[in-house]
Amino acid sequence: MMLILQVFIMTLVGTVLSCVLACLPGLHVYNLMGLIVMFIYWLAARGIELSPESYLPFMVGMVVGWSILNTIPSILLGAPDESAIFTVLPGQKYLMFGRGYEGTMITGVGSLAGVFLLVFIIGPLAPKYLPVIKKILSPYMAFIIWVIITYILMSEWPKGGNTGPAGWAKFRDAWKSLGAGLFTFFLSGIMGFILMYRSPVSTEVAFQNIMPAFVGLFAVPWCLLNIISGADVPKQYISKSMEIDGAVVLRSTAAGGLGGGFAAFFPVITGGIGGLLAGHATAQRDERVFIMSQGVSKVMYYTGAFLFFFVPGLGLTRGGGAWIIKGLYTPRSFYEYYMMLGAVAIAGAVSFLMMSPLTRWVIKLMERYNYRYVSIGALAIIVVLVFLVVGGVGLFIMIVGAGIGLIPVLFASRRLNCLGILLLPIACNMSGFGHIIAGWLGLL
Amino acid sequence: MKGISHFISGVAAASFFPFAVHEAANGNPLYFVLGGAFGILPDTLDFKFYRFFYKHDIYIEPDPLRPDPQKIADQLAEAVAKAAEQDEMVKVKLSTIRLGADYWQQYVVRFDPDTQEVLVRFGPVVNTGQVPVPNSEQEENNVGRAKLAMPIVQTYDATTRVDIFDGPTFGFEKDEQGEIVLHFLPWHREWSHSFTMGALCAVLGGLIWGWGALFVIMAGYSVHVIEDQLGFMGSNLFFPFTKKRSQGVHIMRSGDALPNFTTVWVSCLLIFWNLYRFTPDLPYSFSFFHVALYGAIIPMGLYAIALHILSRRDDEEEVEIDMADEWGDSKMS
Amino acid sequence: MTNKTLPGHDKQPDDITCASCGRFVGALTRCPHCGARVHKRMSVRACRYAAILLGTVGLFLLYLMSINKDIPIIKVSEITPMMNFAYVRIIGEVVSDPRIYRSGDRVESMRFEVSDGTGDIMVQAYRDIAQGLLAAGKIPRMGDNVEVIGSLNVSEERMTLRLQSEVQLSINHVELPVTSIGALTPSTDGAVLIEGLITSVKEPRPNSRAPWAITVQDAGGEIEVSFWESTYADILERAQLEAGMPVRIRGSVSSYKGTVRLRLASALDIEFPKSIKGGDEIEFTAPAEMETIMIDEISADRKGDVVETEGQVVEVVPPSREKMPWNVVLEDGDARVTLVYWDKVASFLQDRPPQKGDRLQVRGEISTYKDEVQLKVERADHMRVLNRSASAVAKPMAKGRKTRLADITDAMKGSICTVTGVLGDSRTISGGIVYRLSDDSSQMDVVLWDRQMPPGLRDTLAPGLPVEITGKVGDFKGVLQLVPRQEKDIRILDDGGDS
Repeated sequence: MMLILQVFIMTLVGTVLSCVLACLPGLHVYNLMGLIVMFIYWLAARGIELSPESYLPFMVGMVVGWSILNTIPSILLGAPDESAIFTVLPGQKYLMFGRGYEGTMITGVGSLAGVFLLVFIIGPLAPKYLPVIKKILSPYMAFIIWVIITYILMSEWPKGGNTGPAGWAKFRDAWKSLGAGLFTFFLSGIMGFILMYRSPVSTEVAFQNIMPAFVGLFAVPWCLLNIISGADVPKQYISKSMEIDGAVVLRSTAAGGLGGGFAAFFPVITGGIGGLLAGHATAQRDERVFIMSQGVSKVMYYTGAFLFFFVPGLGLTRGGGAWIIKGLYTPRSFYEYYMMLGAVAIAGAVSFLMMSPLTRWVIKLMERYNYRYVSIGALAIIVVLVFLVVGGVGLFIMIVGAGIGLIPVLFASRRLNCLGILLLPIACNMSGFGHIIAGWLGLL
Repeated sequence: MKGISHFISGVAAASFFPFAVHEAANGNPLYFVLGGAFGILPDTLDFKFYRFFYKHDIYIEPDPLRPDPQKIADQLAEAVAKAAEQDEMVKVKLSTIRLGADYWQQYVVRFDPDTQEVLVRFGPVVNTGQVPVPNSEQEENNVGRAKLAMPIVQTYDATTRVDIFDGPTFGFEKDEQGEIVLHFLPWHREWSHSFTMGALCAVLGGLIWGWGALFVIMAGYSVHVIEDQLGFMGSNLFFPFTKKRSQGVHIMRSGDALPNFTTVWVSCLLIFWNLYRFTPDLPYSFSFFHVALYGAIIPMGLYAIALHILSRRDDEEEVEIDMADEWGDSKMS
Repeated sequence: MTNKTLPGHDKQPDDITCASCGRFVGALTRCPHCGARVHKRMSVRACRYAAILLGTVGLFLLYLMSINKDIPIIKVSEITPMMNFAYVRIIGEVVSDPRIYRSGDRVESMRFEVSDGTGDIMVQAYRDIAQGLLAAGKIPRMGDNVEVIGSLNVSEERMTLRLQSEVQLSINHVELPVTSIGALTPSTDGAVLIEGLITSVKEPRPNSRAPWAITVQDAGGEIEVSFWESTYADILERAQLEAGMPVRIRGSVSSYKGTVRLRLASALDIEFPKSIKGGDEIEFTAPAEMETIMIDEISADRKGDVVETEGQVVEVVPPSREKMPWNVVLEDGDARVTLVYWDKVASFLQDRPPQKGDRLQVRGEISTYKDEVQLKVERADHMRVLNRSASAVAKPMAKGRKTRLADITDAMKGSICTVTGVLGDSRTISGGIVYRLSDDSSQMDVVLWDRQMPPGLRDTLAPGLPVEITGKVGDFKGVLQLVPRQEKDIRILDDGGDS
């Protein structure tokens, strides 16, 4: 009984902490988890050993809470993480029409549906079916990644070339954004090779190798743009109901579940890619379904990937959370699996309950403080965090990443191209020629 | 169909070739990438290349400061009159009306064969997400109307909405019955959507990557051409031996959710099944019926039942976000 | 169009509308409507190009920084989970035999343990990198000193170093002194080197997962040496793996039920020297003479008995497809029995495969297949040709007899052939070189072992050179090849057809 109470309390603590921290723009749960793991090692070095029943539910609470509540800064402060970049466009429309609260809550309902999907459908079925699927697909992961890269690069739509007579000038105008997108993918891919083969990050914190680059690619450009543009946000209304029904929830759950689940199961595929694929594949025309499905997708991706690490007999390590925890703990049985499923359910419920008050709180904050100052504050937090975890070299990597991350933003191409940092080197490695390219680059 | 449907269909087509699966298992993704890339290539050629070089006879570019629906209607009627006087197709480009960084004036063009008229109606101002700006619709002088010189034959939708990014193209061509046939996007699904172009790509691919690529490219490309016949537009199947686009079978529209999702999902199941059956020494044994049952019939059935129950009381019209461009991509990037 | 100001337009900057005609131009510097030049504030354009500059120059600096950073040498005991993915260098000694994992013909991975004195770490190479290591002969052996560079993978239960390229493994092979077999005890630690004569070869049954076991004898005693089928497949000179052959083996000592054994980890750890020190002193025990029974005494009642018999070969049926056995019908008077053996046995028959007309002495297990009694032969040395038929001797595959490549078949495995053709491309393999030989009928690989051919021979051979080669027909992974044994087996022909 005491054990159950301990799990419950630790889940609660982790959830509440991450819910509050999730409201800070630019802060990623994996950075926080990295800090916490460093703290656990620091304690262990001083003879204080924490039991898995303490830190595992705490971590689950962190992941679930963040994946649900991070919608708030994504929509209200325009500071999305990589997985939320699709939510933002429709989400910001809600914001600009004063319906930011409603947009956030709709995404929150999607997140709750995602938790239901995980606990009641994926959870019971995963130990039986996922190992079969993994066994069949594991020899083919390389081609799956390459196929997705091909789709990402080929499916971007030209933004220019809409006016004027036919000819090269029109073509050049149209290809400006596409070219910028390809260039971004190429640059971030090279950066990925450098960081994976010869990272300048100190070996002592190598587990956060890629973190400063990710922060630079995704978080910093948004903060900088917000600071530069300094857009005024209209007054936000707190609505008492949402313009959704059961059918919308069901359709969102199906679309988001597919995208997020896909991203959680396959290596290197992030929530952003899952969201893109699900959005295209399900061809959703209803904006509410679109926004809500992104909430489902985000929970499925972050929480699902973390949960899959604990599925008995699966042996799957996906997502930054699972990789961080892998050094600390190896799951062994259904004991942990049920514990984690329970923690997911509790954390999901608590997070959703906290969504409304925290959204109101952030809206009040926005009314009181200038949007530009909030962005400056967010940028400051990011810089301090990167410096604390990775040191000065981390800041340098972050700045380079920001330079690359700004290209798609300024040229109106897909920010998803920044994921070349993971996709390109890992796909090359999986196909067996990553080391050859690294050799050409002089990284070996 | 949408880009992803064509793409994944091409990948699924590649998965039917045992050599492609065998190579993929050894880390070589070439054949699957070729299947997907050439599955989507016909649209890539049209939308990313050809349309920027396609010359129009008439450019209708409404003035953002003084947009006038009657002027647009008159220009369209002039184009029809011009087509009536010549044997060549008259190609007309309708431009979008950009009002600001994120605002566009929406307008709808409708050809009415019964009254032999073209109607242009100005709608609301929309943002790039095609969401109308409240109270932005003009209440007066928002409809233009012009009489057409000859009867018109619709081959696509009765109305065409023009709002964000690029505007549509119409082709007006006189037929043997003395009517004007209206071609929607005459630059689309022409040479690029033909089996002959597919064969040419396949031969070139075969010369570069070997005979395996030849089959995969042809399969991926052909699947695209065949899938496009399900819609309203069809394509020019054997360019240059055939000169006109075939009529589609009118089963679906390119942006419809259900056929697109069904295509994607069935393709995924076929890929999974092919990977399974071409992988040696797997400890599992199941049939395609099992894959279909657990992968499609049961989940789709449950979903359909749940959706039916949940939708019974809800007869409200959906608020649409139209992603009806060929790629459904306009709000995704 | 509405006359009301659109949301946000009241605060819209001037430089996104044309100063000349008032229409929206966005980021364009020339108005598409009236052609007037639109002057932009620097910040927007500067941001674009600054981003590109920052991204590319910054990336280049990051690259320079990375390639100029020394890869740190770390001690195994200092590795913590926070070092996951770190790119490090470890210097130490190999403390386990390398294990090579295969899936079919494909190498999946290779792994071995390294100790640097503070702890052990598993070093792993996957797929192409493992394959590259094998191809380059970079297989560390227990006791070797190595320097490995790779990325760390640390989990709660174990830590591994993953090689990212074959160039990241440097091996300093440590030559071991020859140890007398008699000196080996269960407590003998690490790797040892023995020299002796092979006294028996125990081949695993077809489709069995049992290892190969050979017995090696030196002046001090004898020891069983075991290795897996995959290792056997990698032994390039495996044709010499037969009783009576001198052998030098490096392996690790293990014991089973008190008996000391030697485990061979890699095919490179077995060599076949022409002679060994003190080889003459070894008392080699030849296999016992076989006791013969009559063929008509072989019946289904004796199923499972191992018997010896003798008779005339009346028919030789090669396998019709993969995994099927060879069938040899033996006749003695009116009685007949079918001998069955698989490719593994056939490959050891070398230059004495049973042929029609041969008088054959054979030992095998009586079994039945589809109600027919047959004799299952498990080892090549259980078949002995007592009297080779005249017709067989006169066949064209007799030693030195010229033949065309297309006429060389599976049935000729082990026989000596002479072929005239043109050398094609070559590829280096561990311990030798392979040339593609072609004549007007077909193509075949010719394998030249370094230990059998003088070093200068490679320099005289080149693609396009006409040659006459005499060699033994063998096969490697089911593909026939020709193996000359000495330099004089290769004659370089001039244009007239002779040297």
